[in-house]
Amino acid sequence: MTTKNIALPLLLLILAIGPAPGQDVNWASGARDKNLLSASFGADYSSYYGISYGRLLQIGKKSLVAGTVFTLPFGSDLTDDWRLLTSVQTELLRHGGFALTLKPALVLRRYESPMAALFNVGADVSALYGYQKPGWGAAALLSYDRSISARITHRLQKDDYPAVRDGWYHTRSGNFRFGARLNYTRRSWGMFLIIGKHYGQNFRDNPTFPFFAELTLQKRF
Amino acid sequence: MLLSCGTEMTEPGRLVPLTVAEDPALPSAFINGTRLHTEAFGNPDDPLLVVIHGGPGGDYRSMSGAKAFSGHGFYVVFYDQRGSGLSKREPESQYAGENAVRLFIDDLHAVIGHYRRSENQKVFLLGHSWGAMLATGYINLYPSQVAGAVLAEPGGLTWRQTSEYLSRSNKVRFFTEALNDAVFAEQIIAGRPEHEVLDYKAAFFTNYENAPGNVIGNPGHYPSWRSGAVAFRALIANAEQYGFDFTTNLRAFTREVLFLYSENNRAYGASWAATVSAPYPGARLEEVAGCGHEVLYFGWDDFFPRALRYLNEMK
Repeated sequence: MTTKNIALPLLLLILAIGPAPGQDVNWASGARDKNLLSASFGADYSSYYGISYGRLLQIGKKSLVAGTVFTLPFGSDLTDDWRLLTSVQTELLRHGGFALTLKPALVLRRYESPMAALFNVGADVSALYGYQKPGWGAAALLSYDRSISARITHRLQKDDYPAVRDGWYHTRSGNFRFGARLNYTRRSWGMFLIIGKHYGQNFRDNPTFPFFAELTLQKRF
Repeated sequence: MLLSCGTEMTEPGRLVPLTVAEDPALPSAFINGTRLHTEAFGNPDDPLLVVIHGGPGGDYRSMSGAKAFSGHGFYVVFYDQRGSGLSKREPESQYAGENAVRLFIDDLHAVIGHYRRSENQKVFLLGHSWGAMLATGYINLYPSQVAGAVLAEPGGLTWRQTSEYLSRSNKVRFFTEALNDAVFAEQIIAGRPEHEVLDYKAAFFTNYENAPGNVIGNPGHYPSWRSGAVAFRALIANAEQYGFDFTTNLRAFTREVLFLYSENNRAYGASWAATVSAPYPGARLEEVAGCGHEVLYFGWDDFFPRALRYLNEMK
């Protein structure tokens, strides 16, 4: 059975039992349910699907959401590539219906192919600024995903170049993402659509597929 | 600890092999303003057979079996093209402007000039993929200088043809492991401009063309030294901007050309071979059995006798 065949039923199952979005939050919804469960799929570098869980925390007068998003690309090897993003987010500013949200995150990633396997540590910071009503919202998105360090274990590349060396390497660079987020909230459910374009941090060495899109369904409880 | 430990990806020789600019022990020659990785086998007075690799940005490692022609009366010359393989890296600006493709033709002309002993020494070209396109560009410019050519699956002889072929051979297959293997690492090795890093990352793209079920019929990985990522990227961008047409003068080349296509490349086939080879007045089409696009590596057993027969006829 291919991953595609496994992933789609899994996604449907997740949706059926009530999961929800990634770390997307509609701060204006008025609801203060403690738990956010999400399922998402999209295209970013490659096609992927994922689940996430977030927990609403109250620190003094400040509301925060801490959570984790786990994404897997479609493909025949279910777990050889993945991304785990753990974040904390909060509204920094609000004036009228407009709000600025900041979300710093720690990113762990794994990539494996016949050539090599990479385990990566990185950091991501996202900012959303836009108009948010209880039932819907629209916001501009800016994020920077910085890869910090990667452990590389070579496979076929050793055949081509026996002197290639495994180990930790400084990757120390990243990609920008510019986009927009639309969201719709009804009762305890939310839906988020993100679209945009990403660039290498020098705006020259860009990802092969420049566009990204993600659709997320979220349940609050 | 993760922030402080580790090695720079650009440290010479750690992730990609040293080039002739970094390792003087590698065989090389200073040609047309750059240093090329180059080797020659056989009697220098025999007819010259210049082997031209694919890409752009590939190298001749998977074609090195062609040194066998040196045992059959040919002086076989290999070279890694400008900025590719073990040849010296060059700045991206060298591949900009309307004359970028012409620069590669000039390099080939200079390679021939470097190894050719006399005007009477016959010159044969053996090109694969982009190398067969480049060979055609050379023949189009210097038809009287070439005694014959073996061309294995040139994508096209104009940019329009080539882009049509690439749309079939590189067709994106979403939801596949092959796509992940090619591009997922771009979020880990991201936004780095150094050539060594770009070359290293480009090697992951071979996962796509050689993945199980690939369109071009490769049964697996084939050897290479280094992907010349900058040369590849810049030349493709250059072709998109300026285009090229290697057929404008091909009717002047009346000699027979051995035009080969592979049995297993579903993006090529006999009909595309007929289309691409049409501007050659003397094209002889033959199918190489049991292989896909990497004809000289995976299809050597069938390729070699066909090519040798042709070359001996033309010698």
